Amino acid sequence: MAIRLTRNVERPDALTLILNGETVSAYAGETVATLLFAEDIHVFYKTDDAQGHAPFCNMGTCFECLVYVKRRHCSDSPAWVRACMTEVEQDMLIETGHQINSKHNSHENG
Amino acid sequence: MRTAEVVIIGAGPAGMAAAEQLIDYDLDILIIDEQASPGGQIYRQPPHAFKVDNWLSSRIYKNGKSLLKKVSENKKINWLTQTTVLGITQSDDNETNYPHKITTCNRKGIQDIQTKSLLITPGCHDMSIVFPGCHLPGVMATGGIQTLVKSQQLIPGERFLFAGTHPLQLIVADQIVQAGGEVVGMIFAQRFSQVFAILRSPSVLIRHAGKFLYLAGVLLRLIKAGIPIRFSETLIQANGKARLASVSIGAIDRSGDIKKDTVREILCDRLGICFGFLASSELARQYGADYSWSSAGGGWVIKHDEWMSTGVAGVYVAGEITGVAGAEVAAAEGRLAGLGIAQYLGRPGSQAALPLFKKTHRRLQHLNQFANILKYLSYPGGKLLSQLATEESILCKCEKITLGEFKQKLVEHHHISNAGAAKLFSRTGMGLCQGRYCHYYMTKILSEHGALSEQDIGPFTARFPVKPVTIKSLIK
Repeated sequence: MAIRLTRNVERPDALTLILNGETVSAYAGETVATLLFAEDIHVFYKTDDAQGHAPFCNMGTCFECLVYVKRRHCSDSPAWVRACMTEVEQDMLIETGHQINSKHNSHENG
Repeated sequence: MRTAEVVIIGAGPAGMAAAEQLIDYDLDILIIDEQASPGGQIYRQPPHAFKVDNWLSSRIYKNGKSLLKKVSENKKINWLTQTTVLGITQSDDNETNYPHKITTCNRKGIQDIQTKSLLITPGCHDMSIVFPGCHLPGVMATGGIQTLVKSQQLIPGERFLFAGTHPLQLIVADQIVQAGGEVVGMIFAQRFSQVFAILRSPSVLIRHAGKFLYLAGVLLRLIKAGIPIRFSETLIQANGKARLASVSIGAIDRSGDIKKDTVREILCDRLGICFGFLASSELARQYGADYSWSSAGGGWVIKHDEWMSTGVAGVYVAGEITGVAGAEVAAAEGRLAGLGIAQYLGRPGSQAALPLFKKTHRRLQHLNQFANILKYLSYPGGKLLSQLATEESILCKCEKITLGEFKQKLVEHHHISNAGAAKLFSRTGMGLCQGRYCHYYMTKILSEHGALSEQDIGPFTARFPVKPVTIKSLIK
């Protein structure tokens, strides 16, 4: 389990979003990767043979942290985003553990 | 179309120092960065919505933080943050004063920007190491762990183990312990006596006393906190089914061989890999900049002249892209590039900057002495890397290709003698990271296979877009 530091840190009011069908809270400015670590998620996406992938670089270069996201204020269809480069938003829908190249196949620059 | 006189790609130390240098020349400057705030990875800031006291409070960050403040608060600089550069092309109109076209992508979509000149400072990324279990969730770049702690204010795990050859692992372990996390060990492949190689260069030791004292302080704190720090040892294997559960560690003998009879297991849920860094040179290569290979300095690095010009008119580079050497070297190179660009654009007063140009070069020379010591001290070397990489280890995580599968392709197609051909026959490097994490190993294997130099093997051809983007967003 990951731990959010509290000493010397003031966070804004919590917002809520839906992670794998359940309501969870997070803080504006956090990345989706941070939220998933804090929620004890270990597999962000899978390749066809069900091999799990999770963040390696946390700086947008390795593409190991892809998750499937739908945003409230975005008319676009849901898309794969880099969890480490995407900030959480109120009412965002996040799904983890999907196989890439299967039913979800759109990657957005997030 | 949006235009600028100077576009700086990357707001790390090199980009910020260049911007600071260019402020006085009254130019239309645009800085593009993938993060929400400037600083690069070394000064990666907490989110705007957070209030963090004591952020990077050590004295060694003082100069960088004041540069960050100065550039961030300057009203003349334009910013395009949370934006990825997909590629650079020549402007469609040959007669234009803005010969370079930069294609960017962010949440709003694709935007082209034309510019008179540009500085490419994309930095570097952690070197990924091939060993059994290297693909397991829980195995991370030490730099990635660090940015979660210092920017997101998160300790991403319960039991941290660090392993490698680069002293960054000391700094990150210290930051985790300071923040209240648990570090179960640090494993250095070097012999402890190698650390004293720095004593052979007393002038460097004295000139860079601040940095050595900082590292010594970190080391003392870690020892005081009872964190085991081991030398002449290496990770051998990451164990676990769906995720990391433990790491097998073994000793290295004096001739550099891993002693298989010494293997022990350390339980941990987070492993930080720390073997150094690779230059992110693909964008500059995509636009025609010349490159050379540096085994210890970041793989493919970009060639430049003393004003940091690439030889492509108006295109400059600075920082890790010229060879990984740290934030201070990056900032000095950024300053030189700023002076070079001012002169290229014929700004009044840019000729008068010659004394500063010479002074910065002298400073760069001194900084490079330190950087070179660190570089050779922390280079893992081919012998260690090839012992770690077993046939079953994943070479290309994106396409899930093992080292054994890759080598089999070389047996079947023995004529393969360059990176492009190896990619076509094996799919290694075809995935989403576009070869950023497999190319170093692959280059070394091909070089050995064909008895060719790395320069003969060459890099994967860098093409637009240098990061994945949907066709849908390009059409819009």
